[in-house]
Amino acid sequence: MQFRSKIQKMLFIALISSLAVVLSYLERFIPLPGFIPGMKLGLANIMTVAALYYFSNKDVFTIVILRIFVSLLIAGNVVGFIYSLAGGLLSFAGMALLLRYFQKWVSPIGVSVFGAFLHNVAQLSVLGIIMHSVTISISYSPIIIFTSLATGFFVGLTANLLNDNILNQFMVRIVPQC
Amino acid sequence: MKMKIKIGDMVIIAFVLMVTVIVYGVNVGRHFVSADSAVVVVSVNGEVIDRHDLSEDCVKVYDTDHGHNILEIHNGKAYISEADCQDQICILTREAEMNGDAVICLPNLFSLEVISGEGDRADAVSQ
Repeated sequence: MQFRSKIQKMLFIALISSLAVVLSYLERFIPLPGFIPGMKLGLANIMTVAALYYFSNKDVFTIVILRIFVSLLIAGNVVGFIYSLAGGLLSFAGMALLLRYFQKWVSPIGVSVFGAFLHNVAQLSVLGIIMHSVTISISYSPIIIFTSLATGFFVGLTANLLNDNILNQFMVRIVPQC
Repeated sequence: MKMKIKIGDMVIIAFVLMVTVIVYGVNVGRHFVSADSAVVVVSVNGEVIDRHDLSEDCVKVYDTDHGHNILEIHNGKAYISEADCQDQICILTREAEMNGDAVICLPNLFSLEVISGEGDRADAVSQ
């Protein structure tokens, strides 16, 4: 890690998490066509993907957990919280493993698409468990997974721009740049 | 800036597309089963509380521990016409008419699902 002190590291974790909270709050005002329950852009994932390139996995985990809990306080939606927690944790685990073992072969776009896909897998599983019905999950899955491909692509693109243009100024990457 | 799509990205995107096609195929396959004797299954919190024939028009009010919903069936299409949930997504959801279609009101744990009568179909085939 390239941080000068513990306080500097804490400051950056707090900064990134609060940006993620603001993004996940703002995306609720962006209407999406189609009216699939719970469909959203996943803008908060921009911060997770970007952070994966600068922080250790433990710190990114802290960022994800902080973002989800603070979003719960803002939205006050416990059902939504269970969905975010399942989706956030599974997609974080998947993206961290992907970067750990396949760093050479994937760009932020691939990482983000994979994360969005796992996020939806987790949420559809939770939907199936809450509703006690596999058929409901399956009937929603094609449109949701296909949309996640598009949103994941642009989230990855944005995370890459953020890394190259802004975060680069403050920090040195901990993973080799390729 | 020096953005380059790498081989791994293509693999991941192809994988996600493949999964989409597979689940879409499963859905279309289930739709082919549909037709005459379809039933709307109403469940609250995962427990089936009611069944309606999809071919008969009806309006029914459900007041459960989790909330208030009104189910309407018109011309073989089932939908939720009124609900006291915050987001009102269930009212905006497309009507359910084919086997496997569902309308969900998540805050009230209320769901409709169309299931076609498998038993009747088997009879029709064997005749």
